[in-house]
Amino acid sequence: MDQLYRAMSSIKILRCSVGEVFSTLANGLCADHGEEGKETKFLLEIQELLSSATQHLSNMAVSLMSQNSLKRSHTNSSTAKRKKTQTSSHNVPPQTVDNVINSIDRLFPDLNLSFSRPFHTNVVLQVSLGQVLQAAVAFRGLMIEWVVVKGYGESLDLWTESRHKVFRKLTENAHAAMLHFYSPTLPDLAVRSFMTWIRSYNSLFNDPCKRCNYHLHSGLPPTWRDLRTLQPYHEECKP
Amino acid sequence: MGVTVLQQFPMGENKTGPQTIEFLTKRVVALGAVQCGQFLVDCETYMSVPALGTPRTVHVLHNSEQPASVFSLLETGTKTIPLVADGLFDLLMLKMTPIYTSKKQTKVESKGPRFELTDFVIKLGSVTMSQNFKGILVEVEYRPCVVPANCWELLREFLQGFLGTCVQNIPPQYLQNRMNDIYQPMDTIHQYLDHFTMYRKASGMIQYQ
Repeated sequence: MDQLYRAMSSIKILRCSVGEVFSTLANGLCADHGEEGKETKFLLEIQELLSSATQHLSNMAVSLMSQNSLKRSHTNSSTAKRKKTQTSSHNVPPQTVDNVINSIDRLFPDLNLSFSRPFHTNVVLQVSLGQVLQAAVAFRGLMIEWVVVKGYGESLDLWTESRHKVFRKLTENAHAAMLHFYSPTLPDLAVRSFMTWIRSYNSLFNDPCKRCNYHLHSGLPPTWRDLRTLQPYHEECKP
Repeated sequence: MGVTVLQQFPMGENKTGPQTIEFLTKRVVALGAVQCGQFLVDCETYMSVPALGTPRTVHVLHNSEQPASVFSLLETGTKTIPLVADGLFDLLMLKMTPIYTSKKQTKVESKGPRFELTDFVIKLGSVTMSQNFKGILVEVEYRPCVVPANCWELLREFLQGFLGTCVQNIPPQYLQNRMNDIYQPMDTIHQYLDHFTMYRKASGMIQYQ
């Protein structure tokens, strides 16, 4: 992880200095590097440097990505098995997705679900929970890919954040839960568990924290719900 | 908008209004609040002329949080009719002088600094009636929540945290009847009017002493 941070910060520095490179080039190289012919040589040198840096970084990225246990897309490295269609959570027929969502809708009467297929393939689910919150959940097949949580009465879409800090925190936690519940073998169970978890926010403003028994900690209510027990905790109090 | 609670803050002995505001400012800033401008809520009351029959009262209020709106409450004696209109309502009231006359000396306003702390908005208002200082009103809004029943306990904890024991454990009378309704800007205006009316009555008592 440390390596990744270092790589990120050096990329940032590199990006900042790109401007400098352009201004140097714009002023003309002749002044700095003497003869006209050396210009191409200089450019080649830069290119070489850049490509070696890119190679180094991509090697590092590959090694890091392969360690990442939260990776959720299938990469099929062996060529022999390639022809066989893999059963996974993101290539299920639309009818199955509809059925799963409708069964969740029947299971939890306090969750108000409505869904659409903006690009005819994958579902975007709108969840509203009482007069507390609403969420937009983007699916890929039966895999939850993105979640945005917002307050009651806010306009809901997939990309803009809530204006309230508490719901921005909830969006973050929902991402954590979405990764936690992800299960490639039982995708419908993953969706149901996620919905059960998000449903526990019905009492977001009512419940005090299980550990400190207070409502507020640094100006926020208990924004975390335990993934198993669904008990409310502050970010700072969670077990 | 979020649920708002209006709370009277008792004046300490030998303390002036500005000193109390400064004292409260220090407390909210210590909590991490950041000042974001000023606020003002004012209220002017008009009485119907005797020729109109049963006396009616119109309270016209403005709130800097909803700058494009004019709030009015008509008291007919049996019921109170709320109305939210745009700025032209003020001009309309000017045209109504043959029927409704303003009691200028009872114009009340609450103004002071406005703070933000995570999702809370805190307003420390000094209440004045025709330039005379009357007291301190503290307004706290919790913006993410729209139903009073859901967040009263949370608001109580927050209010008691920086105002102390002057905050009751039960919700204000006005909110008690609307705990499960969706909170509207008019509800804040109602709370201000209730407090302003109390201040006006209090001044009456002082005059009679």
